[in-house]
Amino acid sequence: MQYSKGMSENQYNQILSCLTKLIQKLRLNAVFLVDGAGRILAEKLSESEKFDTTILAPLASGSYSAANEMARQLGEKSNVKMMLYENDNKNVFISSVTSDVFLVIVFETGVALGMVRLFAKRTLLQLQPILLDDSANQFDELFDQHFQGLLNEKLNQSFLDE
Amino acid sequence: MFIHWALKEIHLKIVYYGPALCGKTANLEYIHSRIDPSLKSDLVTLKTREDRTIFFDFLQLEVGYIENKKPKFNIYTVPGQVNYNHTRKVVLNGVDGIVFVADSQREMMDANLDTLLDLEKHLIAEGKTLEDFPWVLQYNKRDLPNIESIREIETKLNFFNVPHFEAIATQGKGVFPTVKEVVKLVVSNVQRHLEDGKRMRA
Ligand SMILES: Nc1nc2c(ncn2[C@@H]2O[C@H](COP(=O)(O)OP(=O)(O)O)[C@@H](O)[C@H]2O)c(=O)[nH]1
Ligand SMILES: [Mg+2]
Repeated sequence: MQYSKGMSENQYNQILSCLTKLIQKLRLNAVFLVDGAGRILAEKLSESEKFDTTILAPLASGSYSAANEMARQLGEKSNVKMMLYENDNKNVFISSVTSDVFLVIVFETGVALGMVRLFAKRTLLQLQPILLDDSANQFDELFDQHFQGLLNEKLNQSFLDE
Repeated sequence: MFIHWALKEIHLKIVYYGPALCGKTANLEYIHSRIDPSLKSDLVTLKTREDRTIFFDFLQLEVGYIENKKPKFNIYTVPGQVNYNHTRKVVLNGVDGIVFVADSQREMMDANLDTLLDLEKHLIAEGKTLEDFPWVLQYNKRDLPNIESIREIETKLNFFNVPHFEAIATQGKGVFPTVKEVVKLVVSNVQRHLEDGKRMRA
């Protein structure tokens, strides 16, 4: 397993533009890209939405992994391709982009599922080559020698019992 | 570790590991109760009706910008129940550092060791081992009467001499020192890997 991973500014901008097109096209509530570690890689929310994707990302990642394990138990060889949560107001559609990244789409129950699937599929095909570029995984400098000390100071300030 | 260059975010994942009921959730609850609301997410807990962790608990901590970068700590717990093996594997995906919470009660020593071996098994599957991975030990429930002495627990669990902390998680004792230490080890480890990578490419 690779030790560190990164996403370049260029990758991010390309991804964001895919997500923006998707959300505008179908008037979705939100689209976001999550990895298997539960991290949010990119997100686009419609203007009226403000739910906490920080929390939704690990939940989506967890439920997608659980679904994958269920498939494996059933004898399937590859990852789950898509899953759907039907709710009273907002549905959630999750589909796999690469082996470790998936796309989460939140949409009103009035939006046709067929449309969501069709445009999700197009978006996946656009996202795959962008995610393949792993040049941002290689970097030398991240922290300098002051970072550790500064971080420790910040942690001390944040922890209110000390 | 994941670095998001456009947003200047550094994501670090820390997992609290340990046998069922050792106090992992209690650690997160304490952290969550004592952090400035602007620096934390909600605490998510996925529990059964009997209050046992069924999937994971999750909490994100931030400390604002440091040298123009924004570290984000994604903190998880795993369910301790023996048969939730797959869930532990899922939660460990992309882990950067571990807090192993041991239950100090004498009768829990076997469970502590079994769980530590279970952790090593999962780490090996990710190409890591307990020797070359940043982790700390927390000896929890030090307030209970039937506990093992620190010296005994050390010989039973701390084979690699990692930093250890005594704790009473429900009272918050030892909780912050533990998390601060694991963060420190994670950052040094990232630094070391970057330097090794640089040397290899040079
Ligand atoms: N006496 C005592 N009880 C604790 C301590 N830490 C946790 N507990 C209790 O042990 C039980 C299990 O704790 P929990 O955090 O849910 O364990 P988890 O299964 O590891 O998440 C709960 O009833 C806690 O209140 C401690 O330091 N001392
Ligand atoms: Mg728990």
